[in-house]
Amino acid sequence: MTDSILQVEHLVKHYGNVQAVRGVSFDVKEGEVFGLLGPNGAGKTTTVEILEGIRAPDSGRVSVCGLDPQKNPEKLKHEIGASLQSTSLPEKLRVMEALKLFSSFYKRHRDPEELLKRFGLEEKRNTFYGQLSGGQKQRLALALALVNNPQVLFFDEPTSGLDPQVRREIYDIVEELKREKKTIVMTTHYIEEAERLCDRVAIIDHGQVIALGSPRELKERSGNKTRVEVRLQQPDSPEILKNLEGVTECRELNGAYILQARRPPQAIVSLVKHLEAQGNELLGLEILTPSLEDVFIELTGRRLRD
Amino acid sequence: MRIELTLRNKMFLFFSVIMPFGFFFLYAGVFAKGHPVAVRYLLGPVMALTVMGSFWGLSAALVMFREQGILRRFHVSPVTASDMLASSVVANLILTMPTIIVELCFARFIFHVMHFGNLATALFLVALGTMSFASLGLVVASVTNTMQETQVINQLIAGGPSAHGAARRPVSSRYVSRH
Repeated sequence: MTDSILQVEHLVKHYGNVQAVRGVSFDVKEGEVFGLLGPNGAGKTTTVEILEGIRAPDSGRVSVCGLDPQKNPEKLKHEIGASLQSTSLPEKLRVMEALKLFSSFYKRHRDPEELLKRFGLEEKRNTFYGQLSGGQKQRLALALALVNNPQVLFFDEPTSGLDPQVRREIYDIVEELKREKKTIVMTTHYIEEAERLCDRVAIIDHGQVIALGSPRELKERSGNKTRVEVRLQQPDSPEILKNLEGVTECRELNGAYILQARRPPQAIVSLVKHLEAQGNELLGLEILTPSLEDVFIELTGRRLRD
Repeated sequence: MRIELTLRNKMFLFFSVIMPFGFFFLYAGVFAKGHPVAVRYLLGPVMALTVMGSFWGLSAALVMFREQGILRRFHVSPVTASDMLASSVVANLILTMPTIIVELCFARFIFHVMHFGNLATALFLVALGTMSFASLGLVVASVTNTMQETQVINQLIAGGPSAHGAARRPVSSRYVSRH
């Protein structure tokens, strides 16, 4: 990791009366995979679109590859590659034609043949865009983002709406780019994706960065407690459960009780004893090691998907 | 690429090929009853309708591109809006001119029209008209958000010239026989 290639300071953007981005600040270092993690409507896409130069901020300072996206949009577009939240191309455009067409827009470009091979689209080279599957369309979108061999890549929810197998294929592609030391800024609302792919993550909620750091740092900040999620036959009081041995905290969420435990075995034993004494029954129990979801819940009191 | 894409577009094929030839055979075969002098007279409105086809096709295609989010993808590439608009107008011109030439050939070889007047000036005016109507189509596309809005505005704009053309259309067989 070297110097910052991208800086965002106090970024603000309104849509009418809605404040989509409220003073977002972060920086991205060269060769880093940086994730913007947050629920739908958190302001991730707006932030990325401002960085790509396709939206103007109301205030704040942005620098990408040393360029201001508003002052030097044309220069900037030669330095970045982008895969939008929903990339769409003309239905009657063939895969190879799309790669050649987009390559022709740039001064510096990669061999379309190489991109076809790399993204596993060789057999689909003459297929119309409209006839590709969702995964193939997404792979083509990523290939198009790379046609100009960009310094910075923006992937806006690259796996959204894809099935788990295709999602894993996309993860492999991003990991390969990561090994090549490409700088990537990606948005996601998938915890697994952020934990697996990102060197650093900014958790965004209601247009604000509420936490920033590596996934490990963020999880450590959450107190490094194991989460025990239990479902009971009869409702119980979170206050009582919180006082059980080994349990440090308890809250009710969507009908389940989430117990934070520093010593999970002890917490489970005391929970079972308590339920027996109450004549209550355990319907389900899940032990979860801390994740970014925990960090999000801790910071907002909500799940990412709520 | 733009021309290839346009040729694969059914909407373009309808407005710029099928509709002009449909009008050509309707006017020349039905209204003019195949009489060369009447066909020559009606060739003007037919060519005007071909030129206006570019207006319909281009505005509809561009709005469809925007509705589908296709323009957005081009927006993050170094292609500027003026590049896109200029390529649309030029592609449209390149595709409309052959249609006009085929119409002239049909008039000459199927309906035996011998005199076309000043053909160079006619083709120049066709080119100018195609570019003007294509530009108008782009203006319509820029002020409308949906295909429905585009159709309404297109109808309002095209209604005047079409009605004007229809009012001047001679259909009398006596007119044809006098020439």
